[in-house]
Amino acid sequence: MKTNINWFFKEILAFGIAAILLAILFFSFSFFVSKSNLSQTKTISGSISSIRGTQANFESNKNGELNFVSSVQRLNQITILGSSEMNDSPYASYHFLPDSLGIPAMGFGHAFHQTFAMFCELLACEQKLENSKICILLSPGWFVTEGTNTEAFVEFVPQNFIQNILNNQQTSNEEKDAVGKYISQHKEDFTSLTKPMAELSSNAEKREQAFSISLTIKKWLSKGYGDALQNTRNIKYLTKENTLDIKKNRAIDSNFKALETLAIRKSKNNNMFVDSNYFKVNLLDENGKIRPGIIADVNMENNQEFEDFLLLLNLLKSRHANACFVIQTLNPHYYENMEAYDELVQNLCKELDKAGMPYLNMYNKDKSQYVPGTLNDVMHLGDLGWMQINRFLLKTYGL
Amino acid sequence: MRGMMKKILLYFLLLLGYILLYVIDIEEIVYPSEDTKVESKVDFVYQQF
Repeated sequence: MKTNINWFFKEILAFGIAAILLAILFFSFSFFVSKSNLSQTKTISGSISSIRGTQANFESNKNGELNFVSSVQRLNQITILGSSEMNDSPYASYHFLPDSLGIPAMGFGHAFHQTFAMFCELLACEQKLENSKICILLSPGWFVTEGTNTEAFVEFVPQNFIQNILNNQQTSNEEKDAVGKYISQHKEDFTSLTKPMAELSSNAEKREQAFSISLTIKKWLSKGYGDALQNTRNIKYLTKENTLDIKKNRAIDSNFKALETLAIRKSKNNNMFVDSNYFKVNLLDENGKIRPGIIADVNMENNQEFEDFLLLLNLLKSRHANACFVIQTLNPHYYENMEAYDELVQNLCKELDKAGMPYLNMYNKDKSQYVPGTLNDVMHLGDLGWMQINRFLLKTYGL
Repeated sequence: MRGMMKKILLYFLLLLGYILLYVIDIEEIVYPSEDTKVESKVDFVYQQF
């Protein structure tokens, strides 16, 4: 028995001495590493750095990433994130504000660009969020989906953004794990996982356990070695300053009545204030009858999109972004059961009020209150709708 | 004493290997792999209704 205790004690002692020697070795070596420049940085620079217009996604386009980061970084520019309403209307904020008023504004997104993708994009450049003017266009329809789909994730969250999220020491573990859990839950839907994706996913899984020895050692090592122990490179964007001549004429309200009249004129073949061509192509079936438009009930319990919205809201609030939100509407002349969104819209407003975030609630289920031109069709912003947003942006940002 | 030194060396090498290969992934730092392209296996078709 005594021999056994002696043997066990000797093993523990040998292990302890080995661990202390190793700690001393890593500690001494950290002085050498911190003085040398072992960390690798990938620099992304380009000639394009836009101050107006839209960009659909960031897929295979490094200039796209640069445009986005530049837009967020420029404190005088408004960055607009939205989905299928991002059209080529001259009244869309990313056209009207720069072209008519000289205020830089860029829009990013297309259909399926939902709150989780927006959260990841903004998290990737979180150091630049403070005071950045960011406007999020929310569509109630997102909240009946299961959140951002993987195809949209790949399009809107490029690998450079994922590397930035992984490597940024300022980003909290909770925020990194939100991205990691998404990757982990959807890994079967990706053809493969890149190194940073796999690391975010495995870190999130490890942190779910009560204690992870490898993460604890890595955290301890990173205190001495900083970026040098990262196996993915840091990404640095070289952004460019562009300017516009600010124009003084801000009398935009005069356009409103004209746009309403124009919208009525464009909806000749229906009394729903839907663009005639859209009505013919999308709303009539083969027998010439109107397809029914019934809003599905929204389940607010465990609603993934709502959880993602809260993540996004919390990110913008915690980084002191100068952000605002727009809750878009649907056409009440077409859709039935619009009451299905009541609870959702109330919850969105409640959370935005709680966060002290300015917002424009365009949601309207009352036919008599609907102004023709708010939407082009049954769900996408029309010229008048864009002008309402422009007025809201000018007021919110005191421009 | 000699036996003890052997044990310390053994544990030292085991711990060093664990940290370099598993915790830090030294191979990836020395020989970084090329970025692999990720695609979604699921294609979503935009439907308005």
